[in-house]
Amino acid sequence: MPLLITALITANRPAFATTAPTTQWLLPASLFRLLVVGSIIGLVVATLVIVLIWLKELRQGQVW
Amino acid sequence: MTDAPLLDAGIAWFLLVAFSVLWIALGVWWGKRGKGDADDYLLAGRNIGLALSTATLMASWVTGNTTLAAPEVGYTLGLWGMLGYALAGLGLFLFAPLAIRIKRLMPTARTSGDFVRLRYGRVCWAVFLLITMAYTLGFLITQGMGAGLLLQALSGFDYRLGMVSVIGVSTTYTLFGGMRGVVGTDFIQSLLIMALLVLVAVLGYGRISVDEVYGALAAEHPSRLNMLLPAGLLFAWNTGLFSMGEVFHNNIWWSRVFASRPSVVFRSFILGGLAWTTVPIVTGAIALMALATNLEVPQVNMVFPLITAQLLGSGGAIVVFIIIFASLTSTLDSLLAASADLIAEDVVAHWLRPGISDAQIRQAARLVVVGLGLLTMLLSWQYFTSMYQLLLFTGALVASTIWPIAMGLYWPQANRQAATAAMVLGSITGLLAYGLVAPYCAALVSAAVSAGVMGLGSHWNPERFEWRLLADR
Repeated sequence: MPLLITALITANRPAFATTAPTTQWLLPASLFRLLVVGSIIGLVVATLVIVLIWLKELRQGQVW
Repeated sequence: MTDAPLLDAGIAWFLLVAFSVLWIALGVWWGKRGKGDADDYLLAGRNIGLALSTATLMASWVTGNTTLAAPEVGYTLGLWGMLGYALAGLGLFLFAPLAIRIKRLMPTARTSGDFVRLRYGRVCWAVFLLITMAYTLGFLITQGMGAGLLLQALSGFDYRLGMVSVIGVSTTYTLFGGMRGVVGTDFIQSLLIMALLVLVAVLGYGRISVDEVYGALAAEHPSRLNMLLPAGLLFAWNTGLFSMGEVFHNNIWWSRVFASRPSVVFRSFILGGLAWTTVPIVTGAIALMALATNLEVPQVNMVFPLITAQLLGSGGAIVVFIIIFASLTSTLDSLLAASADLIAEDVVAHWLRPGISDAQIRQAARLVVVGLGLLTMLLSWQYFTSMYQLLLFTGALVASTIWPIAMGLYWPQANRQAATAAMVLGSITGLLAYGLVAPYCAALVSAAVSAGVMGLGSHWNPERFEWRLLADR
């Protein structure tokens, strides 16, 4: 999505959200691990699913 | 930009030439398939299967921003930056039910403009075209400028050389391949992006573990783990809403609906959304390693290339180059093809030269692809820094189209005058909010006003729209 391409154009603008908030709830380590590992696994699965669907459609002549 | 390029100039030239030749050759090859009529050129024959449909949605939505700005917001905002950016996937998810309805109601349509013209009449259609053209032009320019700046930072290329190369390659294979070439290359580009991102993440987190990253963040940058960070929550809300406006109105997504087989439309948007959602989280997680390793990041927008090169050496820089080149070309080709369809079909065939033949529409689309490519180069020639402000401007415009599109697809009482007023008043108030309150409020105010005008106007003066009229392109 194009909304944030601008970020790389406005190269020298400062980070805009590092001021200390008044309220905090830090994500526990277990959930952080789940988020990071889960997203990587999700990306792997998504890649494989697209390839497998493509192979199936290729065999059935339904790619296009 | 960074002081020294991350990639040796010789390697960068080799990669640029190799991938340019590959995309153009594939585009030309795919363009020669099919019947060669306008439907084939504009919509790849209307029979795309699930794999290509999903991949083209994924590739079009993974822009240069997803691979650069998502890590940036992960770096600056932490978890809410990553998750907030991932909320842009909402646009694809929420469009899925609309997409299947569009496919059923308008089996022969070609553009989003066809819907607005047939559903709401020519006045609303003209307003809609103005809005979508303003957005498209802003999107094209930012991708062009992004290409120049990124290739400059990664490989030391002159800004204009990088910008012209990326736009030129995308324009060339879109011109010869049409939508078939775009969808085919999108398939390879999306797989390349996904596989290489997995490679970077796995190798990166092999060097420094998830627990080490968490420990460093908790000790030195706890705000990045704070799930109640106000700026992060605001960012997430704005991103989700903006993405809905972008997807609901833009012909990139409508053209995918018309190009896909009816049986795969719904599933492809859901699957594409799910696949896309993982990308900003993975790239953001990669950026968090920069914080954990105390990597010096002179410019936060370059955090992804910097940490990748730091962890994986010159091989990492090569991978980043390929990911970003694929991201930029896959977005530019989709924009060029979908905008050419819109201009050829709506402006030329339904406005300037009604009654022109299918072959003439196809020829018009080809001319528009070249014209848009050249216009994008021209407008991106001089790099300027106010694009951020310009794009937030377009947020006010596109958010005003969300409710007229959604209500118009499901509610026969949705009124054409209300739809026109909703787009105009939503845009005006959104722009006022942008200037008088805060740029982040633009999309929110625009969508809220547009919803109110659309709902009340249609309630007070309901229309009795007959859905069968949409089938008549």
